[in-house]
Amino acid sequence: MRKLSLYRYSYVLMGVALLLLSILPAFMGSYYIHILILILVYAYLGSSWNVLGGYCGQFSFGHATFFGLGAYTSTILFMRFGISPWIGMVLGGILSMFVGIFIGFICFRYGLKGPFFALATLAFAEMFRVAALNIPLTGKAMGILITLKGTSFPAFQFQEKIYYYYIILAFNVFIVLVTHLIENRKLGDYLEAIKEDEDAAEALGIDTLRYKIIAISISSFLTALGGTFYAQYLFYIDPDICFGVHNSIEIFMRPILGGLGTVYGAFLGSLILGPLSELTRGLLGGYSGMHLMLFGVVLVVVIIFLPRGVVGLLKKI
Amino acid sequence: MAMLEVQGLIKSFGGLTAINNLNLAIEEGEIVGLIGPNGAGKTTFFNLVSGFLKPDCGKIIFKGENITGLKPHAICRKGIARTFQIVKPFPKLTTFKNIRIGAYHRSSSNRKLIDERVEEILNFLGLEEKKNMLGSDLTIADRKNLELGRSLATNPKLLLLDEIMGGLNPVEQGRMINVVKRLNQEGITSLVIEHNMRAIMLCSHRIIVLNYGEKIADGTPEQVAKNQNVIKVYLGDQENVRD
Amino acid sequence: MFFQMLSNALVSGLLMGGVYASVAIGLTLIFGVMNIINFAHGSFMMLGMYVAYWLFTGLGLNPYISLVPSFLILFFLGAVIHKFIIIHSSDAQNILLITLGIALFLENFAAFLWTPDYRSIEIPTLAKSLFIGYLAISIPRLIAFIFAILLTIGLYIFLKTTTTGKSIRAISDNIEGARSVGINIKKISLISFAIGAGCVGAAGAVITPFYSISPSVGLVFVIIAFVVVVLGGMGNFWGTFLGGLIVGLGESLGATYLPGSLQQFFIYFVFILILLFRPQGILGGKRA
Repeated sequence: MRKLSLYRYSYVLMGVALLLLSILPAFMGSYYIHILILILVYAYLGSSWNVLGGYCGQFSFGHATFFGLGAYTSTILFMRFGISPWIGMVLGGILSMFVGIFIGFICFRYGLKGPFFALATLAFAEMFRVAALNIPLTGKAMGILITLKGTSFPAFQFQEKIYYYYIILAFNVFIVLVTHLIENRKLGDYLEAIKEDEDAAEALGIDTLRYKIIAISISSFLTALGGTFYAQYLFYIDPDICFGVHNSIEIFMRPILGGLGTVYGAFLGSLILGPLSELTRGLLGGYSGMHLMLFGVVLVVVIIFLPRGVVGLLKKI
Repeated sequence: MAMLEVQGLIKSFGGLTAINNLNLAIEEGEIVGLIGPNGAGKTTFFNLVSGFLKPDCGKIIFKGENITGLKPHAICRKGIARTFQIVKPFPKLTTFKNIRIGAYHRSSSNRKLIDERVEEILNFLGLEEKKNMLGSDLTIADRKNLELGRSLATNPKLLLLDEIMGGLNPVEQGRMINVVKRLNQEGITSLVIEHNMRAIMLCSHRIIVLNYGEKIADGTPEQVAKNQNVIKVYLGDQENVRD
Repeated sequence: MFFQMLSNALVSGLLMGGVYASVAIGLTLIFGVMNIINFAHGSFMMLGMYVAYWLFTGLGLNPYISLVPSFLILFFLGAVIHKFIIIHSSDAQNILLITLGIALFLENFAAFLWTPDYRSIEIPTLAKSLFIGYLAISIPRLIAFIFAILLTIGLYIFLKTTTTGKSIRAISDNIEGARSVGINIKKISLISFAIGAGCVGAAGAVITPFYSISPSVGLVFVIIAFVVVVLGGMGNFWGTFLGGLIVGLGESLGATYLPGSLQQFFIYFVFILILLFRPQGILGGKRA
């Protein structure tokens, strides 16, 4: 069985890509750096989702829950108590992880699978969204506007975009490493076994409940970190942006297109969807959801014709 | 002390009693054949022993320990491995990975040792050449071997084989019988569900016959072959001819 | 005063519940037959609303008459979507994603064509209420409720008496059995899907006199439809009707007595509880 030589040298390729990405901003204007940052944010979020959805096969339609928990936790801690968003980010991650474990335990313990698990996670995200809309702590529908402190590392704020760029690039390198570690170890094999055939996995000694919960706890923790970054980059959060179903969709679209259960899938997916979103926005103008029309088409096409995503396609060439 | 002891096992589905007050024992080192007409409850029995189903009543004792109601993964870790009647390879994983997944929970987390063990099993079952093929690309004979290989990787003391020879041609079946015998020589006790009478009579030390969830015979292959109840069950009762 | 508020909340809850039931009934039909979850269900309804709107604005056609073209157009659209897209996958999870994709496309295509602005249909002669004691019963909502009952009864009769209907029930019960008696699974699945789409399209038309129209309405209703269907029991007809009433009542009482928009929170909460602890729904249907 011939393997694409491109794939075999993927380490080299990725090293080159990293190098390119590191020096690229020097040649780009602020607008393009902004686009790249968004691409990288959703690549990161998609990769976080991927641990649960791509490797373990449990599709969450409600990852916005974890994103929002991260964003709101660090933001509220900063605005109300002056706690550095870096610390808030970790705390948000931990909170998100506990919520993830709770959601995971409830759903998996009672045997929710496939589309029903997806809908349950959607319902959870919606619950958080409605809660955030109604409680004063989160600023209700008005959301929270983060006080500008100029460029301040402890406050996780920078006036030039370039700092954000390298931070999110680092996030991406981090998650690639984490995913790689998972994929090549027992955890990764166990998660994939669960994805492929839960009964067979159980018969081979895998505590499927435990590992599903491990997957969701890792995934939820990592996703929350991204939420904090996003908040610190855009300086504004509200229930819809954070917990809305459209956010969840943006998150899982990347790995679905790029390749579920692969290290670089979410990254590739974001590389394609990011510019595509911007183009559609520009072409069709006005209403901000235009790119979703395209996403809808992409989703249908990928599920039917490209179930292994772009990575799967590349492997075949 | 028997290796596996089943006491008063009862399992019903709705109004249908699939296992009806079953008592049996498997001694260490045996190969026991489990036969019976379709619907006799053989696979249900396997599901109960391996933890996929919970009995309504009764006890399942393995090596002196009550394992009734434990989850499948816990039972696997106690030393009971099972294959499925309709094979369940992990379709998108390679043969090697398939087997490796079974091998992980052994005490050593040393990657090298685990991989060596996988190679050992691949060689033993003749899957060495196919180790990089995806589960979904294997032939039925290879899938059966894979199913067995995966179970072996978990280092079982008791193997539950559910129609491991289903779909195999006579040559492949012969090979499989030899494999089971060799495993037995290496100390693995096997409980084998089979429809192939010849095969099971040849390799079993003892045969248990189920019908409508009850044990109707329990003895050596010769004894069972002569058992009137067994013959009636397989050839049909003259008075109860159904169309 | 307390009773006045309570009884009005109950009445409007029941009326809206009927609407939710009529929206969800198509979904339960589709799930019952094909075991698939149609995320685009709400979008079909949204399109039905727009059909009624444009026929009203362009031709002055009364939405209660427009329910027929709404039904037909969505029936046709549903059939096309089933034939060319849905049929490519049988995995429940994939179908959920595919129909999500379709919903995304339809919602945003509608926004592209007609802008995301809310529109409404004003019919002065209808915008009245019936007053019984201190109860104020909105006439358009009452009509929608009656429509819901008629739709449920109509579908029930259809399923019980017509050949197609019986085939649908057969597949719902036991797909292999249905296949072995020669029922054309593909064709019946297509028809069920189309009927489901048509019904919800018609439901959309019927609520236009009192419900604002916008592309985002689809998402709101599909989630409610899911809750209703799961609550009542998937594939269970009367369960869905009952589920609709319960959701309607819960929402209405919640809106009346809870601060803010918290009633939504409780709807989702109930949804999750049912999924976990009684996945077959209140009246029992296919297991979740």
